[in-house]
Amino acid sequence: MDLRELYDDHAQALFAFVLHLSRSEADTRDILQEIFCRLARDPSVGGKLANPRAYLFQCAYRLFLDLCRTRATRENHASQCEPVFQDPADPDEIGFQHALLDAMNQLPAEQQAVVHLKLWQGQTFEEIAASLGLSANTAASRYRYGLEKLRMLLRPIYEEIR
Amino acid sequence: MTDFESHLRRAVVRPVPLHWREEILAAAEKGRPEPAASGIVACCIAVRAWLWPHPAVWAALAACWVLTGILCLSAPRGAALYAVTPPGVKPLRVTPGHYAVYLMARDALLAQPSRGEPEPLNRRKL
Repeated sequence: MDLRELYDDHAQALFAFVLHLSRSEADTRDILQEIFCRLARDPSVGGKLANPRAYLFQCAYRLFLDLCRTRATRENHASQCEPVFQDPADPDEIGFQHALLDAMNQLPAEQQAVVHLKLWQGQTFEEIAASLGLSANTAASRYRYGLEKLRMLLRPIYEEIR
Repeated sequence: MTDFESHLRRAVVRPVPLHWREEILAAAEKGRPEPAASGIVACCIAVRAWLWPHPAVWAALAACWVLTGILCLSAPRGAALYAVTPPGVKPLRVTPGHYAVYLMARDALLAQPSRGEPEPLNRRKL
């Protein structure tokens, strides 16, 4: 498959996923570039992919985990906290989004990844399982735990703006 | 999907910066492998990759082994090793004249009276 075509089809989704996890635009760019460089180095991979998006998410997730291991602590990594979402028109929503990002930051990376893919990529648990190399049951339980924690952390502000 | 989940989904992720496309694709194109090299070149590349990360050191070690092998194979072996006279050394040729001189010198030495003969052990003073 052509690299440009792959980029046009999947870059936005990958950008959202990695930015959500890393909270750093520079790291997101590095990871995206590494993915496409790997695809260019081994063009045979692109042609064989049955599900390119799942493969790309899997690459992105692994590269993100590698980056975390290199950095030793994820806290250092996430301390940059660059904005992930577009600014909404409603000022209450701005506050909610900041709280949401803080709450997401408190989830373990594996729950964050599942929550992101479920909520913002609209993937099913089977698709998430393929993207992250998990079983669908594990993906579902991680989502449940992650969402429960988000609900707990965001309850005050969510009740306020409802 | 609950109301809470729907509310979370309302947040829209920022778009990927436009200039990234060309930059990332250009970087990827740079890393694209060259078209297949000829047999010898491909072989050299494969050997070099195999010897990574210190090809010069591996090459020097290989050269040492080759040199050692050449020296070992070119040296005489077995009986031939003892039959060889080192270069620059002339073989000794003993003539009857030399032998006669040797016998005379030996007889003269044996005929000389011995001086300062060591005392028997039991006479030594401690």
